[in-house]
Order: sequence, then structure tokens, then C-alpha cells
Amino acid sequence: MSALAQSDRLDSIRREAQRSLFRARNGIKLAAGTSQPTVGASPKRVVWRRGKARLVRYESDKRTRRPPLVIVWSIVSRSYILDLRPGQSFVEQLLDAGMDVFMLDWGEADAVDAGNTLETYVDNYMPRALERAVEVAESEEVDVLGYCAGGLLSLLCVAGHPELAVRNLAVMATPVDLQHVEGLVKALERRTLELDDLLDANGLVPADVVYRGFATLRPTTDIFKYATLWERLWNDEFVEGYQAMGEWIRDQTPMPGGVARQLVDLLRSNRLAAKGEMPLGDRSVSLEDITCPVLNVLAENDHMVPPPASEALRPWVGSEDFTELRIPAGHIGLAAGRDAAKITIPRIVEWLNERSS
Amino acid sequence: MTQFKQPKPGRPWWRPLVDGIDRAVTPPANEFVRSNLFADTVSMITRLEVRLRRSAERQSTWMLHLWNLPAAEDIRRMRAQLAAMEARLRDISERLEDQQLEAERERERRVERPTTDDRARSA
Repeated sequence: MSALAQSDRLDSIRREAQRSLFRARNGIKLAAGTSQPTVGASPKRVVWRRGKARLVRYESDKRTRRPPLVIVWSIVSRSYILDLRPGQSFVEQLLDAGMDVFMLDWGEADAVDAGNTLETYVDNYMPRALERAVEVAESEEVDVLGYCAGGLLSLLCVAGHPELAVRNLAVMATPVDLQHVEGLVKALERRTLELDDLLDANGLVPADVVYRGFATLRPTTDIFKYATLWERLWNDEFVEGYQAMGEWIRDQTPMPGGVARQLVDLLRSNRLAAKGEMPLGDRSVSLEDITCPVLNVLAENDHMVPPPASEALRPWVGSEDFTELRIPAGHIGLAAGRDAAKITIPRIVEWLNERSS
Repeated sequence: MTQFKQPKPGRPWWRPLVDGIDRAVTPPANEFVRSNLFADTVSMITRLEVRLRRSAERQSTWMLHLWNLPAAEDIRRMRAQLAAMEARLRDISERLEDQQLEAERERERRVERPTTDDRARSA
């Protein structure tokens, strides 16, 4: 064996030995749960509250762009996925692009919120939160970016409240045609399962049911991800990211029964996809009344909200400026993965900048 | 037949094996959980679990009430009433808040644009 080959072999052995040590250390930390990563750490302050809903504004000395952007989060799951860790943060990237970023988060529903309906969010919370963002940012208008169910709320709010000064509306992985959503939703659509079978004693769809509803769509993920974890357990950066993502996946929030009931009705009637409208409060809200520019971001490998569920928005929006952006990512990867940093966020920023002052 | 590829440099020897199994198992598993059979099976198990739970609760409620003791159902009802009351209070306080905010905005608007009456009074 040549000297070079011997040296390479020694390096390889040394590297493997070192990795084994790191693997053992990180394995013990993971098993003991002694080092939890800090998530959602970008500095922010609460500028508005109502019920469990809160609007936060992210601190930044790089604000150059108007109008401000309000991210409307989903009713289930935690918004910190968009600000997972430094260097892996959707919010951070928007701030770096000069945006004035707000986040509208709905908190964790409890028994008091069981009776909340879509009207609670669309007619009560959202208009007030958007007005507050305009006030705090000293702007005249606001851009809105809704994610998943937050996108649905954003569509209904903008359609149902033409008086709101929304300049641009972007929605990501938003289910408009619920009949394309898989899993437990199919059982509800076919009426082999009723919502009352899923509600807990507080009148909520439990967080655990929400989590299992999504997890069953990729039944082998949990098994094979351990292989990747074992392979890269020596890598501190990977382990931290794994922990942070794992924490978020398990950290779902319950859904108010009132909202769930309306979504089941919407699923069975499919009115929004078939007619572009749905009853809300004492009126019918029509997507045709959305006349501001609209960006519809779809994840091509989305197993939770498959592309056809989001594509259904296209025929109904009244806006003449409608853009559909397809990203080769999954539901979560759309906003929190490598593709988010390289593709999704720069394209959204570009689209918004083309339509801002 | 599933192809087991050679590991890339730096990757462990077992990785191609695991990836091969993943490629073989995952697509049919994903297809199965999207089938009506799976949805119907989950529904049936869920309904059965709910039925058994409710039956057990009915039995235990009857026994507890025999001894004049509160059952889970009674506590649940009370919690639901409390939650409804708290929701109503929240609703009322939100309306008050809105009225106060509207009154404040009206005052600010008056300060910026005095009405004809205000001007006459000050003259």
C-alpha cells in the first residue's frame, strides 16, 4: 500500500472514530432529551391580541419595503416552523429582503374556543389584526401571505371584506378543493366517519387526531427517518435541525369543533371549488370579489394538500393579476426546507416587490 | 426486483439496503393509506372505540349516580357550561373593546375636523 493510500486510510479511520464519539454523545443527548433546540427565536413583540389570537411584529433595522407583510398562520400547528432556527428561517429571509414582517398566530384552542367558527377568524380577528398592522407600520395598505388553512382564512377574509386595504395576497399550499385532501378527510367525505366521533370532551378535534391524520399519509416516514438519523447522528447541525423539526411535527394544536364542522360541510358540499363561494355569517362570500393581485404557491410533492386541491383557486379569483407558482417541494418543505430558502422565498419576495411601492 | 445501488463515498455500507427497502415498501404503503379500504377500516375502528367508551361511561355513570356521586358526564357538562360562559364573557368584553376603540377614533376625528357646531361654540 502506498504512503498516500495509507495516509488516506488512517484519516478515514480517525474520522470514523471521531464520528462514533460524536454519535454516542448526540445519541445520549437525544435519548435523555437534555438539549432541546431553541425555536422561533427571532426577536419580535406582540402588537395586538384578541382571545388566543396574537399579532407579532418582527424586529428589524432593515425595513426598506412597503407595505408591511402579514403572515396568516394555520389554525392547527405552530407558526414557529417559519422561524425554526437561525439560518433555517422563512421569517429571517423575509426580514433580510427588507420586509416589515408580522405574524398572525391563533394560539392553542381550548374549551372556550370550541365554539369558534370560521367567522370568528375571518370576520372578527383578521380584519382587526390587519388594521392594527397598518396602524403599527404607519402604512396605508398591507400585503397578506396565508399558509395552508391560514391561506383559506386569508382568501375568505379578503373576499368578504373589500374595505380592507390589502394590496397583494399570496397563499401557500392552500386547500380550496377539500375533496382532494387525503386520509381521514376521505372518511369524513364518504360519511363512514362523523365529526362527532372525533371531537373530545371539550368540543375540539384533539391535537393528537390532527397529528395522526397527517402522519398516516406517510406511514413509513417515521421508520426510515431513523436510518438517516443514525447515519448523521455525528453531525451536530443535523441533529439540532432534526430535533427542531421533530418537535414541531409533534406539536400540533387542537381545532375548534365549530370550525371543523364548517370544514366538513364545505368538504361534503365542495361549494368553494365548484362555485367559488361559501356561506359565511349572514352572507355568501365569493372568491370573485378578490380583485387584488393573487399569488398561489403550490407544492408539487405535497402529500397533505395535493396540487389539485390548491389549483382549484384559479378559475374563481376575480383578480386579473393571478400568478400560480409551482415549487418541487413537500407541504412543509415549501416553507421550511432547502427549497424554501433557494426557491420559494426569493420568488415570493420578487412577486411582492414587483407589486409594491 | 429492487436494485441496491453502491453506497456513495462516505455513506455507510447499509444505506443502499435501507434505501432499497424504502423504495420497495413506501409506494405501496402510501397507496394503501389513500385507499377506501384503509379509510373504512380506520372509521370502523374509531366508531367501535367510541361506542365501547360511551357504553363504559354509561355503565359507570349509572353506578356512580346510585351512590349520588358525580360522573365524568356531569363534570363534562359543567365544564362545557363554564367554557360557554367564559366564551360569552369574552364576546362581551370584545364588543366593549370595539366600542371604546370606535369612540376613541371618533374623538380623534373630531379633533382633526371640528364640526360646524364646535366652531360656532368656540366662536
